[in-house]
Amino acid sequence: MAKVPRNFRLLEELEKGEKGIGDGSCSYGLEDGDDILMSNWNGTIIGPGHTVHENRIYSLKITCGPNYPDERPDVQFISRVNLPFVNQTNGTVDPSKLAVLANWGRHLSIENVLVEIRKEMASFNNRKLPQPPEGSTF
Amino acid sequence: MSEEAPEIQINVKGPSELKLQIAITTDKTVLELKQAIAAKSDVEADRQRLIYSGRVLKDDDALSVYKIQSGHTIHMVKGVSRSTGGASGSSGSSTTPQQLPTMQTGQNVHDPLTQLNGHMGFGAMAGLNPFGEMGLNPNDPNMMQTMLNSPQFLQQMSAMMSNPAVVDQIIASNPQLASMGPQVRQAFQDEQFRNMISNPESLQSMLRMASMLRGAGLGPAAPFGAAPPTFPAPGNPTSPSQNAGTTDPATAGSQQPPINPFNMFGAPAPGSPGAAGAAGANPFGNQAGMLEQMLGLPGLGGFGGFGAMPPPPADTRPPEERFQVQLQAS
Repeated sequence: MAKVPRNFRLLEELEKGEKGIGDGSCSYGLEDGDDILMSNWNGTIIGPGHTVHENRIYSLKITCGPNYPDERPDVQFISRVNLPFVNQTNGTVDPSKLAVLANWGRHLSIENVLVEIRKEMASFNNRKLPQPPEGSTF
Repeated sequence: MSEEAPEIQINVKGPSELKLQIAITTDKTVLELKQAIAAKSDVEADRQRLIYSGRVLKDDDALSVYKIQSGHTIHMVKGVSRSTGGASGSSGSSTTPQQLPTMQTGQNVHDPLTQLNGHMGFGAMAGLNPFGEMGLNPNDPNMMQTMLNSPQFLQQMSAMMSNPAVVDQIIASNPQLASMGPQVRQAFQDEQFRNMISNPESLQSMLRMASMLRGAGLGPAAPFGAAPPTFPAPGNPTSPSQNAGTTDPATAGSQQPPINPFNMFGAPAPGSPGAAGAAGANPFGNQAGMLEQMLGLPGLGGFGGFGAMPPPPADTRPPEERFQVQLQAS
């Protein structure tokens, strides 16, 4: 099977992001629509209900390097959040602590990353973690 | 211009399967989009949070900033209204006796004071004749006492005074209070003070004191003799009365000219001799000195607006008669 080149793949993702996926609990798009390399992305995660994250909107930065999707993207929280896989000084997501990044494969996408992070927020261990005030940023 | 601001169709997906299509030009702001969404849904603009392409849209930005194109989808999330963070919204409304019916006052219904003019407010602001309903005759000199002993009334007063929104309103609506500057607010915000004015017992003793002094002939409408002549004392017919009760026949008949509710708090100028003198007689000490200035014990004259006792016009009567009220009360 032929490998879809990086840019086609990212264009696909971009289109999907602009059309909006699912219920909007995760959203993503290019940081700068004119960026032909499509490296820098914004993402938002709406905190899952019945958790401390409920109704919060978390903003993230996703960076897709030149070897994406063979290599996993870098993910960093802009909104302050207390999660075990998020570095508490700069918001970067530790790929070794988040399964979707640790076991990255080219079948995965930005959407998958956001959805998995959201699932983590709702997990038994994380749903009640004390959180910094809403709206604060790293 | 129209060339640069093409109309686009935006899909809006909201909570509980809400799906809207909004046609809007890209030179419009995010806020305008929110208003358009509000018109088509039941979510007010300031509760909407819009997300497009991983970004939260800012109200002031034009849609073109986000390069939204026709057919794209914006997600809308219901958030907490930002306006509830304001001073009057949060703490105020929760303590306000909102169940009170509002009557005729001609004031803005959102004005917390309006509620006090409701008949459940016991005409705390005078004028109305709710007392009829309570089986009370406003001309009955004992009414004040009766009211002082009415837990309902005291509760009402206490609810009113513990509502910061009301206090703010009072300060804002009274130029004299407002001009007293920060001390007023400070004192109003002082917990001790608040406790005092919102505590039924201390209110009661204050009111008692006022009625006693009044009965003692310390001066007609201003029991502490505090009001300087220029001060639009309650009961001064020339004072510009905003009182809703002016139209109430019961008041008109009671010989007590309508009382401006705000004058209840109409303070004499800070440090006016009257207020100072009053402080001497006052068991509450410092705090209450301040209190008097603010509640102004003409204020209690304002309470006199309860329409209770027409002030003794001239003390030509023998003391027995003059102190009749006190004798009866005790």
